Amino acid sequence: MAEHPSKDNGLRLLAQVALSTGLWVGTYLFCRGALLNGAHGRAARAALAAIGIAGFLPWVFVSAKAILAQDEFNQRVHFVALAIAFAVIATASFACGFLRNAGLIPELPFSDLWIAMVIVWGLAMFLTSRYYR
Amino acid sequence: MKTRLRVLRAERNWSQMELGLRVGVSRQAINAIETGKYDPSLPLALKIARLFETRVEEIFELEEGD
Repeated sequence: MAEHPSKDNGLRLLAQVALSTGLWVGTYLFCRGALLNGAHGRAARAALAAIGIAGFLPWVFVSAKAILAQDEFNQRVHFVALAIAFAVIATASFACGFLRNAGLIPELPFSDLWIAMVIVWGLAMFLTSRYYR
Repeated sequence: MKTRLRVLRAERNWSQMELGLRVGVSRQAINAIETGKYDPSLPLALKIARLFETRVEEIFELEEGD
């Protein structure tokens, strides 16, 4: 059972979240900009893609760490919200595939799917917290 | 699951926050347990029982259909 995080641990975790978010946004903007505006050569483009992906991974790791640092009840809230987000995004992407094949909607940018996941996760967190209040 | 946690806590004049700190969980967790929306894990139930110097069955009780 995870203990309630102490104030020092909470501050350390907050700093890690801020750092990893900064790293993610920084590498994302830099690598995306370079890829869209003139990085030539297969090796350079592959390196930029690798840096962009690597810059995102600490955020995923720190987010998981932040959830696991919570007590068992708040972990439950997060896991329920993640399950809801997974189900919503799975259903939406499945439906969008069919609608696109039917010619009813245009091709959607696959690389921006994670934004929808984060938004739905946030909404699901709000709803799940309200349910348990 | 029925629980007497709110009664036991009130007998000691503890707030939900205070009880949460004593057993290592948040105030929200205590509230969700007291309102029956969340069933604690076995380790947490044992910690609560140990804090109140009683048995788990004296605090938590299965209801019809559980």
